[in-house]
Amino acid sequence: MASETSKIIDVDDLSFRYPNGDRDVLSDVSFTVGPGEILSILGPNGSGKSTLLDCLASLRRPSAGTILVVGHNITTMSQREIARVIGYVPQIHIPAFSYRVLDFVLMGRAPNIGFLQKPGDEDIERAYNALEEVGITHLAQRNYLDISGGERQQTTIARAICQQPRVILFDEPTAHLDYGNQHRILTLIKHLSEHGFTVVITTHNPDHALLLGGNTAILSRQGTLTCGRSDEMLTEERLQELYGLDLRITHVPQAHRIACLAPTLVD
Amino acid sequence: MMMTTIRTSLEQERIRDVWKYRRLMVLLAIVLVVLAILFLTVGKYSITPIEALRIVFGRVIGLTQDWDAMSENLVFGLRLPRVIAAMLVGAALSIAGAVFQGIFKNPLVSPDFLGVSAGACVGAAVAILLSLGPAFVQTFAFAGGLLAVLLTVSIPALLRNHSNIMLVLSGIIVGGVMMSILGFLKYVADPETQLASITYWQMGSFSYIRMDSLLAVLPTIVIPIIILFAISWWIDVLSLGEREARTLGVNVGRMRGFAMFCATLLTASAVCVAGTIGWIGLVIPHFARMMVGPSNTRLIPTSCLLGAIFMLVVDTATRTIAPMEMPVSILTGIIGAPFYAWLLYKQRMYLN
Repeated sequence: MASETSKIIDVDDLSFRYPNGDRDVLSDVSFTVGPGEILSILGPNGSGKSTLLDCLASLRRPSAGTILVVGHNITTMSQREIARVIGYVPQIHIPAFSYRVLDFVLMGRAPNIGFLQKPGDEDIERAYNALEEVGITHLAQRNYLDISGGERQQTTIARAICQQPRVILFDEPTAHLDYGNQHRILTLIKHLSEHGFTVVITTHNPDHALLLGGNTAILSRQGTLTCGRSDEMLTEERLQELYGLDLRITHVPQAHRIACLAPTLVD
Repeated sequence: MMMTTIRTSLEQERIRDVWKYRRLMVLLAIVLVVLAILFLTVGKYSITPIEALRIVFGRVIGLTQDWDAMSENLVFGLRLPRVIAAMLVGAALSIAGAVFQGIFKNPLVSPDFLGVSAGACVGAAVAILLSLGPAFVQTFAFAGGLLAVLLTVSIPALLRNHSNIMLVLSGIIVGGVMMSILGFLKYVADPETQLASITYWQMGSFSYIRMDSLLAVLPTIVIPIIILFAISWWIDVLSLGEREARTLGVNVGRMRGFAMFCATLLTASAVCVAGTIGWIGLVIPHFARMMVGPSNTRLIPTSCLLGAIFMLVVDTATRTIAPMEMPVSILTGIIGAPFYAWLLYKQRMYLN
């Protein structure tokens, strides 16, 4: 057991099939995530990235296999117990009601608030700390619907920080964001991982996995998963096969980093 | 340093806002009490506010009785129960509306969309057809309302589809069936006596309220209100949607079921006291949201007070404006619908 508890997430032979589906969306998926690590999950559309994340957040129940969260089988844990370990940042969406940013972030305290209770001064303090960590303290009294898409994503991340889990799952956190905001969100995610949060993120952009470093898992169309260090996983051959494009992984001296570049638009 | 000053000033802004809200609550409570006392004096037989106060509190503080028995009878037997009933029903329907709108993430939902009102109408109509007394009409209405909701929630369970839209559609189905049954009951009712009572009941009225029947439904109104005040913050979390609420550690099925049960009790109790009263459960939460924002910790208490005030004013109007008393729903519709249009106009930028 000791070796298992050193991993935050330990997925073993996980398969998932929709109730009326004729094939496995995820097939015998195994990987582990250690404390403070970053895992980027890449895969083509429909390969089951979000489904995998849903299984980790206990939003879906796998058809087979086990998920251990800090050594406990996820199926034996209550939603509240899971929420104390795993935070989840969904894709940006528009809620029905325009809560204040501070109130929205405060909802991250839910796993620690009793049934007949409301958040107190200490919870508000933590919410301000979370806003400060993301750098959006100035938005505290604004309405959620009055702020920009990038700011909404930052607010949702602040809520996850306020939740104080050990792992934060991000479902395509850069989707629907402009180029600058994409980069800012990735910087923030990197910062979180350096401050002790374990991060699992799904993305459509291999360059994001390169920027984040850490580990990368690639889901195939068949639902199988290969996992390893990002610099070893993100090879030209793999990515060319994954996306059916003549992609290049090359060092760009002006940017001081390895980048993934797509070919010209001539066929 | 910069960061701390921003935070301090924002925190001050938040605290000012909290006090602004508290002052509003006190103001609304004062308005409610003043109106309640004032409306005890209004009617065909008028008495002064002082006299009304003396009659209401006379026994408690031990005044010697220097008013006539008729005034006492009027205040205790008729007006006081009626004023209390109007306040409770207004509060119950408005809170139920706010809660349902929060749970279903839909500001267009009203407290009777699960079929409560239609079911209660059928229950009441059955009791009237069987020529049972007013107490039975009330009990049957309550049972009919709960039965209808039970049907509504069991359809999605049978189909193993727990989406919100399924529940809304199920409510439409059950409501439709109930309305057909009601139509049939009206068709077979004695047109001279029974039909009129059914129709009158269906349009809502406070004119049959007596203290004992009011006391009977008091617990099923007051207890759910207290519980919903206590869990109001969780309704915010539920309003984020099932997935997000679950990732925040909420047992969504249990929490939503509990809140729905309380809101249904409120609606059924309100309907069995005063018949079906439209619009208030839809309009008041919107108005309250405009005043204090969408957070249910404020929205529910504000809806409670605003709903009580609105219903009190409307009921007093129905018994004083015209020589013949009007059904309440006529006025709530005439006031509520244009008011709703005005609210939508004010909020138009937030609706898409």
